[in-house]
Amino acid sequence: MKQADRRVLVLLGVLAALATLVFIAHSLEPLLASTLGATETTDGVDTERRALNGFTLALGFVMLGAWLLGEIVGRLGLPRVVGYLAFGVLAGPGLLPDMLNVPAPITKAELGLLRSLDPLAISLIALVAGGEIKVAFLRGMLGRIATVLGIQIGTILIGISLVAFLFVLPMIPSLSQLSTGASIHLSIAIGLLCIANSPAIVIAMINETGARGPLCDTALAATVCKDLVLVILLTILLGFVPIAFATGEGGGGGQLVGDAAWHLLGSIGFGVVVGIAMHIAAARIEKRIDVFIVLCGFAIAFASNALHFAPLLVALVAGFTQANIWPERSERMFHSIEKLLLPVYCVFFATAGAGIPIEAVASLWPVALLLVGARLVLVWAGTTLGAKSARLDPGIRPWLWTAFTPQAGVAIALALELENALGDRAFVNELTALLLAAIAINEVLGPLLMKLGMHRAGEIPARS
Amino acid sequence: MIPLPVLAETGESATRVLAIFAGIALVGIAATFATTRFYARLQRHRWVAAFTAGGWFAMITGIVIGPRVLAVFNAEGTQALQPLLYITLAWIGLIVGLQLRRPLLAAIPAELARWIRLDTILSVLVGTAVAIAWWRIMAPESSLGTILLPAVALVVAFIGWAPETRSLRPDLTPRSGELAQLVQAGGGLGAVIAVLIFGLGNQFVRIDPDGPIVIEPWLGLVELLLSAGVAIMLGTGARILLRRTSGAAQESLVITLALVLIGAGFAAELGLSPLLNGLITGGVIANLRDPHLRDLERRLQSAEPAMAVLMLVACGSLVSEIDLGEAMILGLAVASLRLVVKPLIARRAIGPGFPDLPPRDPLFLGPARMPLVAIAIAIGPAIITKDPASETVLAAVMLATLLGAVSPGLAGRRRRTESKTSLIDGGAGS
Repeated sequence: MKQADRRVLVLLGVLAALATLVFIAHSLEPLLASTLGATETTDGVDTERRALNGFTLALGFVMLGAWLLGEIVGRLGLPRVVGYLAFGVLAGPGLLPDMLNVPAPITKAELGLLRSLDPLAISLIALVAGGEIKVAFLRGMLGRIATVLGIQIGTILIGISLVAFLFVLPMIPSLSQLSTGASIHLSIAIGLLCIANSPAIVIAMINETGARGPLCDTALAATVCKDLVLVILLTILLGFVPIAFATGEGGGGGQLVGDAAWHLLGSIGFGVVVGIAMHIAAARIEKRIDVFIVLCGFAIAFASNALHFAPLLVALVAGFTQANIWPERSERMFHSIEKLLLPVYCVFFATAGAGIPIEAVASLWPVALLLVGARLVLVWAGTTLGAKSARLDPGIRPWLWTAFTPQAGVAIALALELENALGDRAFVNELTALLLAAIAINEVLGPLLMKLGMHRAGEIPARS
Repeated sequence: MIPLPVLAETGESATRVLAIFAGIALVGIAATFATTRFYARLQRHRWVAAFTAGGWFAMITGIVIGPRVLAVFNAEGTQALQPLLYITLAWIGLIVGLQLRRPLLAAIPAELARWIRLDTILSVLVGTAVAIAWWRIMAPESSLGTILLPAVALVVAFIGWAPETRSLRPDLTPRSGELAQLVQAGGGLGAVIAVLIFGLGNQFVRIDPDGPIVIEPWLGLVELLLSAGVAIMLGTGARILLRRTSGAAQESLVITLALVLIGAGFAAELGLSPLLNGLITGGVIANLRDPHLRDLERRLQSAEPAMAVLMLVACGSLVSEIDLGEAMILGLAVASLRLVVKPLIARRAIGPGFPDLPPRDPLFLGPARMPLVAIAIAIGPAIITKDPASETVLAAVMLATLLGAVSPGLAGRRRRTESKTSLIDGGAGS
């Protein structure tokens, strides 16, 4: 047996031992509780207490398990992110209880607690992402990126809206009975959600493979810019929900513009302030800068939540500010953040995987596949056409589209925002399930395609 | 959390908005200050070192952001601190356990063993008397069932001492150097004994929100075996992974964090002591004698100050709403008794071995200082029972730790003349 194979077997063994340990803990917990005479209650308080008790084990399990599966998957030549996501799917509450009638290692309540760490992870990931975007690059590329994105967004929005209106909505009983106006509105909303990308996956893939080159730079800058555009477009679209569905609810156009402006401009302004404050503090710190960074991540997450800002945008701008105003002096800090990123990736992506609605994927997979297939074709067509019009490097033109295929946190958040805006209408559950199912498929498929694209564009160094 | 713009629309919440931001800013400033070059320079000063060893800043920050002052954490929020406290306790348990290396244990000098034995017995006796007095005078309405575990935490708080001696020895002589080593080693051993006593006690008397539950001996033993099994699995698992991976810093970080999280999580899930679990795991790691695990040890130890700060900030928030007067009386009593009893025990047990050192040598006062592990032990009852008595004991132990950090300096300091004489005597003796 080769040494590499032995290594995979050892990692599998450790993974199996870890799973056994967690199953033992979960099996013993009720047994011990009953032996100790604790009264079994079914109320929310008991569930919350048990989730709080189980949270630490779930966090350790997710971190180590995702990393182990990522290593195994990585040794098979696949992106490690796929391993992290797959571990989340396997360990999460969606697969084992519903499909195999086996208790999940991570319960729904524990998953809820794990998700509360997402803003921290997003803050750290976005700080690095912001640091990667250089003004010099943007200055030379902004026009080209705008061209690529303009054509790509237009193609996807029109194409997916048509596909949704003509094929997707009629295939789902509760959605097929909507009025024409409502159907058009929902089709555009689906189109907008299909535009969404995952800056987190793009950054993770670039870091994991060590890829460097025009494809990576363009993809990173474009996904970030696209997020900004998408948030504005979706906010505007959600403002039309009362008109499209003929209800008198809603806060009116003025409030809508105010909310969007607060969200976007406020996030950018706050990000600049955070970036300057972080730099001033970091310059005076002698030791344990990693602790300082984690505290900053918490502060960004906490303050953004309280101020109704986007933590992704705040951290991104903070990283961008530091990297571009003090490029050399901020290097130590970015280097320290990168050291912390592996556990953050493991937990963040495994939690995202655990949240994939397996039941929805299983019941709506033909429609979801249609949506995913149409999106892939349109992303390819729109990006390739855009890249040609923008006269990007011919070497990256055929493969740039692959970087726009992954979807994750941003798309999920937007889908849930759409769900909230639509309220408790009869079709909302099926619509959300469909969107989440499609996002789930893109979440797993996207990194595979992106790795292939970076490889074909010759941006992955030989060691990867 | 309610977004601030929404909060700000209601008049009464505007101050809360400011309070939350003041809290965030305070933690940020405190954390930043603690890592600056200026602070590092300040720490070279003997008195500043003594103050910071007690964790004043962290505790005060915790109290200020807690429910009583800025209320960054309200009562529900402090509940959410539980996982964080479990993680820090497991980490501290690991650090304590890492001292249990067999060759080190075998090399314990007889005089140190005698000192620790005497100190433990007398500390338990004094601690029991204090706990009974506290129960009868300050909390007579509490039942024995409610008071038992905080009382045990109070008793255990008398065992051992802080191993820090730097602030006690401005002029080190060869003989006082030997004494300082004994004080340091004794501090480490005392922490092990304290964790063992409380942890094993917790195996058989479980803390529950409704009061303590006495567990059948067989079940306690089964759980102890389970803890040992998990510790062995974690230790050997970490060794296997560290050997098989590339050794990159990021991978080591994942393994280290997972080791602590799984150990703490297992304890939290099954209601075991995270300190004891950590101690056993640390013992296993220390005795596996693997060079890869030495790196793991270094990583764990390097994070100790950060963990201690996190624990103290969380403790500060936890005790924010207690009866300060009661806690101060109890804390003062504990600190004063330690200041009287501990140096006496030290002089009695090891003084004869150091006839050339003056009886007023500050190193004999070192054992009066409370170890950090005493706070860690007092956290257990406080976070789970949410009983005011448990929180009072935690606050008292915290206060005693703070007072203990400075009291040896106040009570006695080696005079320049004494130290010079000792130096000459020590030199002549050798």
